[in-house]
Amino acid sequence: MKIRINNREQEISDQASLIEVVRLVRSTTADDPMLKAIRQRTGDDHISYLVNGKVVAPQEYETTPVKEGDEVRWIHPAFGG
Amino acid sequence: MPNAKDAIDARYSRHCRLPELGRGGQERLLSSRILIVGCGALGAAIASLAARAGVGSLRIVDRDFVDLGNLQRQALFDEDDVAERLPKAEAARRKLARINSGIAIEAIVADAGPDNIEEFIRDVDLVLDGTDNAETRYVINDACLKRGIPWIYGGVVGVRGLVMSIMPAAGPCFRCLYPEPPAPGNMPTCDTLGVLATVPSLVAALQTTEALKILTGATPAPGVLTVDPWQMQFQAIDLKRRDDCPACVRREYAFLDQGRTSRALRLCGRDMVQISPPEPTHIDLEALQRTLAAAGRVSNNGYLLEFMADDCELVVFRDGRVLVKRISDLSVARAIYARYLGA
Repeated sequence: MKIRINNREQEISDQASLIEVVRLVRSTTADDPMLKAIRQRTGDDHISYLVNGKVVAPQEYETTPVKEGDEVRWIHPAFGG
Repeated sequence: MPNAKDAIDARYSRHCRLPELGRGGQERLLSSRILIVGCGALGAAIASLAARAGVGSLRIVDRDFVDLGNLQRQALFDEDDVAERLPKAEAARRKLARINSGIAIEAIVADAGPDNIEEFIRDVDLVLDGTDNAETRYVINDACLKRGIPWIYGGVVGVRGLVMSIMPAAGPCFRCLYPEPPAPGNMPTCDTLGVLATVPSLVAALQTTEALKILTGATPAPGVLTVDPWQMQFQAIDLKRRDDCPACVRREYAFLDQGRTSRALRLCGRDMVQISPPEPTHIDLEALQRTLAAAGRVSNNGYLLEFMADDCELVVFRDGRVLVKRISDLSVARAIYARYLGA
């Protein structure tokens, strides 16, 4: 099925849950210098995921279904100033 | 002697000519009061832009001193400020007074937190976020929702940043985006990951633009804007209120009213401050060792981690307690804690 991830159309398996999108984002951003450094140092990338505008807590990634046409966005962390 | 209207026309002519603002908009800015919390890279750039734009009254709160490492990106500060070890709020006030003598500027050297934030926001129209850590933003979010004051979150790290205007009546709020705060030491900071000099200026310009819009009655941008000038990618993201948001839906202000913030304690007879997390936590010392290695010397014996940088010495325990050595001032200790542990 087709969904949009950060405004780009992507094909993912039917009956997918958000965790599959998270894995896809992790692999497509594996070479991103900033995310790579954050993952290496902290063991996590601290990305926030939104499905159709609502933030999903990490413990709910596996149980949050993703449907055809859904809009998934991910946001990098930014707590510095 | 020019009258007040001529003076406005002369100084703010470019704003007065703008259809979006006009002289009416400029007069509204001149009668506005804002609070800037934190005067590092974001806060100093915001303060400079807001002062030049003619926001009539600026209150700036910051807990830190100007350091050489700040000059790479923090507008308003110079080498004389470093040599004098001036507090950032005061250094900013002195520069801003020379930029615009027609506005009121109040500098407060303090650690904004649950015990004093309501006093700082009591009479302002809007709050701008110039902080460098997660915890203070949760406190600002609670206080602004409680008092019905709009605030503008801005955050940076690495080559990226975020901007979000939070309107208390409509939502969504900061906790709709970040429901729970990160564990201390678990989030990259500008001091551990680095930050590109231009990113805070960009984010501050966007935050200040949102402020000028709100203060003159225009509608702020909805949702979140993410910026990545390194790849020249900008994204406007629709963010909806979380149905169960404790802050903007249930109106429970856990960070402001219920003590969900860390505690700093001066250890008697020792030049040392202990900072404890709000609730028991578990720190992955090995991961923290990798993070801090970029910023200084680190050793980890499995029970505690010792970190030495030019400006400080830290001991971090697995339960989240941190000792800031060679420091007796609580605000300075908190500033160092935020710098390296990001909480």
